[in-house]
Amino acid sequence: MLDEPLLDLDDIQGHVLVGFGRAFELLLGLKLIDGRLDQAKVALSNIVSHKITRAGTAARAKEVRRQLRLVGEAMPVANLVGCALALSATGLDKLAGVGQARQFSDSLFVEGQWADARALGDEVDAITGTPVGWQFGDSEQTTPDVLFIVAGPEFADVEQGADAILATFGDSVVVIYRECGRRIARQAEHFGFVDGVSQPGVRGRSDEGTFLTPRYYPENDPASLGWARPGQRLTWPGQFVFGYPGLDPDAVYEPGEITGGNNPLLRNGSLLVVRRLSQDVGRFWRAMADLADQLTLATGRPWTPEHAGAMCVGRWLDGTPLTQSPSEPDSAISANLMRLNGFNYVSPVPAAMLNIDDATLRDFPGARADGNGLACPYFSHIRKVNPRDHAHDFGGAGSTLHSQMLRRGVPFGPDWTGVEDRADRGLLFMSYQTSIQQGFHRLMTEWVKDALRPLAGGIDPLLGQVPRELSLIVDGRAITVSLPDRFVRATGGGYFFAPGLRALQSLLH
Amino acid sequence: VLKLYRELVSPDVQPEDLFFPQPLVVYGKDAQGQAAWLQLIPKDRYNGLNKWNTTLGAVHLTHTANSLGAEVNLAAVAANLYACDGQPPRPDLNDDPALTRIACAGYGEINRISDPNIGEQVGLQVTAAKQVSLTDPIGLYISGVDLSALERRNAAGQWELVPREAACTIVRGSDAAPHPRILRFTLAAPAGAAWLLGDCRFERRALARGGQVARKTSMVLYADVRAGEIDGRHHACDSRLLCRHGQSRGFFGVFETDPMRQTCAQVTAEDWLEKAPYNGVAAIFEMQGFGLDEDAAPTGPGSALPPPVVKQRSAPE
Repeated sequence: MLDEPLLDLDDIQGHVLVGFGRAFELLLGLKLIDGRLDQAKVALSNIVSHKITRAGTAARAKEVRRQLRLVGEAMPVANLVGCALALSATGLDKLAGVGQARQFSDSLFVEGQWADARALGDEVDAITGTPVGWQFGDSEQTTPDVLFIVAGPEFADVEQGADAILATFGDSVVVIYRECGRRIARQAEHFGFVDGVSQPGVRGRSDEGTFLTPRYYPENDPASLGWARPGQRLTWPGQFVFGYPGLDPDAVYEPGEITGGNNPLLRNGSLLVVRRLSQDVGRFWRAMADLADQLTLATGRPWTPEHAGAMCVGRWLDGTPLTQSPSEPDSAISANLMRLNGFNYVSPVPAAMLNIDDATLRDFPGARADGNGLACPYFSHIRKVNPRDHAHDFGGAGSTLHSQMLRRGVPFGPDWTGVEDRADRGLLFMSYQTSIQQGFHRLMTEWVKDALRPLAGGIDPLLGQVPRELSLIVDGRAITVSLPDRFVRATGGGYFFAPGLRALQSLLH
Repeated sequence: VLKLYRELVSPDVQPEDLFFPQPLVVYGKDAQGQAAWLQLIPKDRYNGLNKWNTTLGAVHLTHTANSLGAEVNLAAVAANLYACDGQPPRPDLNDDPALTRIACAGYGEINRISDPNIGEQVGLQVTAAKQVSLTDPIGLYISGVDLSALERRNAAGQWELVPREAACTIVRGSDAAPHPRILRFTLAAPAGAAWLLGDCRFERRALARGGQVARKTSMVLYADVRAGEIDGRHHACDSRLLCRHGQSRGFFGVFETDPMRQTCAQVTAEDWLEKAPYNGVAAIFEMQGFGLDEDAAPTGPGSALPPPVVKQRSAPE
């Protein structure tokens, strides 16, 4: 077994490494008022001491949820509220002194997401180059200095949590963004597809004998060296948290260099990307109906909008990967935690007896490959942003793993009922990494909007720019279809730093 | 060739700049083991590393891995079936299928100087019993360049997008969809503009180096794939030792086995000296002289030039 670092879970924030897994998550963006910074610092110190959730606490709660899920029991309704905070570069400079943000080698964090909008493919003003239609973060002035994420099982819990934070600050802050996201049925996003299935496995131990990420391969299985469970590759914690060994893409099983060096400001902290992505669900399904018509015409057999949508996403609505069931969703796969994400594209995943009590999960039957994209086209969203074991222009599987992030997205807005209501709904995308350049920015600027990369097939159907020509192979024939509409737009965003709690306290004193 | 150089780089290009005016000779041992001047390159042969394609300009790629021959060779060798095909990737090679195939087949470069995607894609097709051939006209093409984040300051001092058509010109080849085949493009401020490329920024950084644009430039080669009979024999994997470097763990070395070198643990520091990156000084080949002698160039092997004076170089620190 590899020697994996001991993680300082009392200092790392719970939202970074573990997530809150709560029904509601409220984002509260605050601007610190110049001249009242001392008051704000006292309030922040108080909040850090009493309200911010440590990773250790979050990990214990997650383990309880996992055990309950495995035995099929309902979640306990506990009144636990999780809380995290992050600072923008401007916020960091206000609290710690001008120039502190420059300690980050990631210039994207220093400059802010609004300045990155053009490269990301967002709509920008032709003259100013600033993003258009954003509810927050379209300039330095509208980017929160401090962002809180408050999570809880009930809407009232997170509202009260946010109110308590505001009461602590008093008149030292101004609210510039407040919005509550909530998990919707089946853990789906608003288009209806099960979301958040695939996450990289973080190496590291919470104590001498416990891995943070549960390991399901028995030690005598060679796969245990690099995989937490089928489909979940292990990577080094420095990819997500400063102060730990990072990933060397060419030697993925050995600890790489310490990310952030020994900089005490960075230690146990992580960079947070927030994107408010509005989804036009009606337009999406109209586009899928049109795509189904094109496919029907091109192939001579009937296609449904759901099938067209599955081709765009790479999974059926219930999460079944297209690679494992190309023609229809399969509940035997989607209901099985190990099979839902247990696949690669180029190489089949061998069958295995997993280290788990549940008999239905223990006997993993293996998963077939789809190297030529016959089941899941190269343009499918999940294949575009994570080609898994497929080589690409920058390297192989290690390089792909190097760009993966810890995603913490939560939907916002009312449920879609099938009737046009012009409601603003979408996803509050959040991701943690120690390099925005290597993670989020690279995926968005080099793969999502490029028809030829990582594999030639088309621009990402969900996030890419329009118009899009999508190429796929059906019944041995290469066909091309078009997808002219755009149904996901950024309507807010920011780059933040979620510091380790000791570093934050030292900044405040 | 001269016309093309003058068109693409400078009207000042002269024939003798591009073609060896004299044979290139080396001093070494001939077929009979006798010390002699040997002709390496004959007179009038094209010199791809001429000054107009290196220090003063750029006309074509020069790295040997970027030649048409290398492309054809990689595609051809990758089109064989290998023992590793259809098998799980090797855990000691990052569980990486492309790396596993390169290690087995011995094509390309294990340290990824060559794009692992090409061999993998070809391999996936032949594994699926498809015939693969490079599409005519064979070439290593530019498929596009993403200039969506190229900006310059306008009169009001604000950064505004530089329209692609204002700065980018396709000089050779075509960007026609769906199969762009660009051979050369230039990036420059339009004639008469009050700004220069050096005034621009690219992805929020001052545009100072060609590498910034290269990073956003995609290369492509095209292949025809069709069903048909293939040679279904699986070739055995390369039997040489494949080892990770002791300190630089992402770096590999391939070694012949001998009675003293059966495992990677038996590979010595001296053995590693022959692999880049060097940790010391190594003699790569024994060649005593190398020159272009314009005054008394030999006309062929066996010329009776005096042996060169070999200067001893001190080892670097």
